[in-house]
Amino acid sequence: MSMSFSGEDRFSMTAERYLGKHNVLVYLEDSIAQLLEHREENPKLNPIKFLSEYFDSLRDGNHTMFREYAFIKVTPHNRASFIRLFWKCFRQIGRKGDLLSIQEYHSLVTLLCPDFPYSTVQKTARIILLDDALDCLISFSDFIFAFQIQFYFEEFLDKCYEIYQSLLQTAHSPRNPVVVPSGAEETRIHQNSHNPSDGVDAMQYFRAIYPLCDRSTFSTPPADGLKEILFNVPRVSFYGFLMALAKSESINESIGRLPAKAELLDGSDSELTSPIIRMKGGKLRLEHPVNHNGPAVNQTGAQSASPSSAAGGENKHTGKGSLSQRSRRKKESSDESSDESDDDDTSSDTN
Amino acid sequence: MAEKRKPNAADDIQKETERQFLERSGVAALYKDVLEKIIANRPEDPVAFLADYFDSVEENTSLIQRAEQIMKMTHHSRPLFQTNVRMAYDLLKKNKASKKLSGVNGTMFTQLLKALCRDIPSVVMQKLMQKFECHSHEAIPFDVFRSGVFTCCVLQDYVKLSEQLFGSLDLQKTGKANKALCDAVLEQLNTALGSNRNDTKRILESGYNLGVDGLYMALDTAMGRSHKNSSLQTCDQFLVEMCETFLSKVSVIK
Repeated sequence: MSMSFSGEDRFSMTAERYLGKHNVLVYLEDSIAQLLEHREENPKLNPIKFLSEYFDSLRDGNHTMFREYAFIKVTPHNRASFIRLFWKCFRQIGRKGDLLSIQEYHSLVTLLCPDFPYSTVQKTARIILLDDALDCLISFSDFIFAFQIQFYFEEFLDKCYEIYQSLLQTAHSPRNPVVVPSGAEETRIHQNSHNPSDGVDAMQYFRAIYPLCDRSTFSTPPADGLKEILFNVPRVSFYGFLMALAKSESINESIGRLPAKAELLDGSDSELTSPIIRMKGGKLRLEHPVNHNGPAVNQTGAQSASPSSAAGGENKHTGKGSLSQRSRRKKESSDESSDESDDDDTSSDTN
Repeated sequence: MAEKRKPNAADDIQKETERQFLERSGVAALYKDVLEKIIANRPEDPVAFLADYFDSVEENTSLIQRAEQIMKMTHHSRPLFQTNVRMAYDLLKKNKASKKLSGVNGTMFTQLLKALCRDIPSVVMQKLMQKFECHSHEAIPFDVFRSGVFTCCVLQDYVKLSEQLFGSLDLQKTGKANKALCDAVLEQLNTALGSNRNDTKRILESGYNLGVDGLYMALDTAMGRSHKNSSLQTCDQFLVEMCETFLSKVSVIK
C-alpha cells in the first residue's frame, strides 16, 4: 500500500514532541480559557457546543478575529489565519485602488487585533519603501504580501538580518578581500564594492541562511523558494531579498492562505461587498463570508519567473543608490496598484 | 488542566468553582480522553482531529456519526485501528432496537458502511452491499462488523489509487484516457489476481507483471495496437471497472 504519509515519523517521535510540533496544548489551554471567560458573561453557556464551535473555527482558520496579539502570534496557523482574515476584510480597499499610509494600514490591523504592535507594520513598510520614504502611500497588494512575509517569518527575518550584517562586516574588514564574481556585472559591482548599500554576494548569503531552514522553532520559507531568489542574482541587499520574498509566488503558495497576486482582488461582487463593518451595541462587528474554497493555485510560467527578475531589479536599484533610482522605486510602489487592478482611472485619481 | 490547587489564595473560591465546573460539565473528562486519543492515533492534522472529535460529542450527533469519527481516527494499516473498530462496535451496541433488544443491527451497519464509503461511486457501493447480503433486522456479530468495515476502508484507498492510476493514463490531461491503455491495465491486474494462492511461481510472475517493467510492456503493446480504434474512457468508467476486479475478490460472508 503506497498511500503517502509524508510525516510518517510522527509515530516514532515522543508524545511531547508531537504535541509541541502541532501546538496541541496551546489550543487545548486556550479553548479552556475562552470557555471560562465566556461562561462569566453567559452562565448558561453549553460548554460542549462552545468547544465544538471553537475547534470548528480553529480548523477553518476563522478563530483570530478580535483576539489578543499574543494569541495571534503564537502559532504559524494563527499567523496565517490572521493574514487571511485581514485580506478577507479589507480587500475592497485593493479593489478600489486606494493607496494608504503605513499608519492607516496599522489602524486597519488594530480593528481586527486591538493590541497589534506598530513595529511589525512599520517593518512591513521598510520592505516596500526606502528608509527616507517611509511616509509614502502603499497599495493593498504590496502591503499584504510584504505584511505576510514580515509577520509569518518574523523570527526567520530577524536571523537573516543578523547574518546579513555579519556578512557585510566581514566583506568590509581589511583582512577579507571583497569577492568579485565574474560575469557581465563585474565592472559595476567592483566600482560599487565600497558602498554598503550594494549588498552581499547572493550565493554566500544563501549558504549562510540555508541552515536556518526547517528548524522546528520558527517558520522558514521553503529552501526551493530561497534558491529561486538567490541563485539568479549575483548580489543581493537585505531589503531587496525581503522584497523578493514578498513577491515570490511559490513562497505565498507554501503558506497557502492568500491567492496568487493576479487573483488577489478577484471574487464575486457579493463576496466583495459582504464584509460589512458596522457598529452594534457599541462593539465593532465585522461580517465576512466563510470561504471554503482554498486559495486558487494558478501559477503560470511567466509568474514563477518573476521573483528572480524582481530580485535582479532590486539589486540594481540599490546597487547604484542614486537619487533617480530611489524616486523610481517610490514610483514603482504606487505604479503596481494600477498594474493589477483593472480600473486604472480610479487609482490615478487617488495619486 | 493539571495546574496545582493553590490553597489560601484570595480567589480560591473562584478557582475552585471553575475546576468544579469543568469536572461537573464533563469537559475535564473529555479533555483527558481527547488528549489520550491524539497521542495514541497521532493524526496528521490534530486541529482537524480536535474539530471532528468535538463535533461528534455534541449531543445531536447520531451514534453512526460518532462511530464513523472513531473509525477515521487512524489509518486502517495502523495497529490501533483494530482497537478503534472495537470501540466503535461497543459504542453502537448501546443502541436499543426495542425495550429488550439492544445491539448492532443490519440497518446501523449499512448506514455506517455507507458513511465510510461516501467517496466511492454509488454503483460500486450497491454491488458491495449486495455482497454483504445484510438484512436490516439481523444482528451483526463483531467479526462480520470488523471485516465489513475493513473492506470499506481498503476499498476507499483502492479507489484513490485507481484515480491516481487513471491520472497517469490520461496522457493529455483531458479527463479521458485511451480505452486500450485502461483495458491493458485491467487485464494485467485481473491475470495477476487470478493466480492460485498455492502456486508460488505464478505469484512471482504476477508480482512482476504488476511491476513497472511488466506494466510498461503491457502498455507499450496496447499503445501499438490502439492507433486505429482509439476510443476514450472517463475516470468514472475506469473506476467502476477497477472496482469490479476488487469486488470479485470480496467473498460473500454467509
